[in-house]
Amino acid sequence: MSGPFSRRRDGALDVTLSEPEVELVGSVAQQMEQVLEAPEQTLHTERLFPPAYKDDPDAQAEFARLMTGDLLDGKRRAVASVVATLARGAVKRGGWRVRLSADEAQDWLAVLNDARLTLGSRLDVTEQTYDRDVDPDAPDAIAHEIFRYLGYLEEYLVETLMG
Amino acid sequence: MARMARSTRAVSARELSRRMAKLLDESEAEGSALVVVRYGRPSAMVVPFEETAEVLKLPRLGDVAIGAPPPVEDDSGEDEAFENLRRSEIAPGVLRDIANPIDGRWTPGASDVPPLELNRVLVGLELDGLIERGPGTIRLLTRGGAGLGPAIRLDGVSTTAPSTLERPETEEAVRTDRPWIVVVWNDPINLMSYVTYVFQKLFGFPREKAHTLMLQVHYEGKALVASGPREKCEADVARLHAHGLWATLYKED
Repeated sequence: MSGPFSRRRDGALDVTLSEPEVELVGSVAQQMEQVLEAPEQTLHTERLFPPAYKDDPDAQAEFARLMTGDLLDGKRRAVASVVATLARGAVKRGGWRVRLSADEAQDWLAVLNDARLTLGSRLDVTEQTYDRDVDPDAPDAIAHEIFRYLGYLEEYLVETLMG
Repeated sequence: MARMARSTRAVSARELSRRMAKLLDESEAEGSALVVVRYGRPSAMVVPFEETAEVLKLPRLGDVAIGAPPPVEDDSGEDEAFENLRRSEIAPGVLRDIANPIDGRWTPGASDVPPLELNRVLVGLELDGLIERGPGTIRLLTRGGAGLGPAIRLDGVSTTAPSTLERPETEEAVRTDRPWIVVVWNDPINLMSYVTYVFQKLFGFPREKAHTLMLQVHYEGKALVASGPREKCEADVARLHAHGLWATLYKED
């Protein structure tokens, strides 16, 4: 399959990106690192830590007390893993390439999805957003383009992982 | 051979379900075994994985069979979804038991429905409600948790002969047995393909079932994806949250 990802028989995943794409993914990972430093003090992180109980504040407080630490640890670990794989990649045969283990591929998926949740919350994305072209003159046009690109990348990744 | 654990540590099932990732990390790092205590007695043991160990592979639905799977007719026009179904077949005898409940609550199809077609109905719709994974066994349940089918050991050998399904004593019995429900809500950000993938990954659903559930979330705004005891549902919600899905749980009325 052509596209940024191809899966090997052993479950590893080969990634091929252009240099601007790698830069963008790296920048997104760095920003997620910052967001996860103090998510409770950062805007647009509510989708990363959704409530488990809709109508029971006490149960929700207890759930959050027990679970949020692990949830946050998992997200930070995934970002660190993506940063490490980006550092490992190199330009070969006309493209930037890296080979991900099956676990690292899951980390990429997690970080791409968390980045889309964060950026999508900031942009107040709705189902209709996907049907509209990005207005190049809008102040948040670049953020919309990045959101779109991350969706494209994640879609490819999911399709590749599903085989 | 399983590696000899250097030490053991007792944890409650509730603690295990809530702090699974951390406990597994610690177990692996220390080479220590976790003894899971349920209802005041040791119930299962988790030992650190070793590559060379003879590992009992946790079966997916496709491995849950009593005796040989039924022969599959050669049909050149089969699509991929059909392939998934074929992989998830369970034995016709079990299907017949499920199809003919004596309590009248479970009616996926008439008994003259061919096994494969019946299986499509079961797998496609409600099979998760019929399966309970326990330490070392998998049980087939009727809807509502009453009426245990045969327990199936992880090595695929039935430990008890298939028996007729037990009738739930009262509505109360049903309520105490499976009172909690996990719901996944629609959101405009998560990709449809991603949601399908997460359902497959977390719950072992065949692709077709995962896809159906995803469509239900998308078009109806929500879908029920799991049910059971509170601690299991909280653990499921936590896993869904770790994958960025908007999941909640509630107690069934």
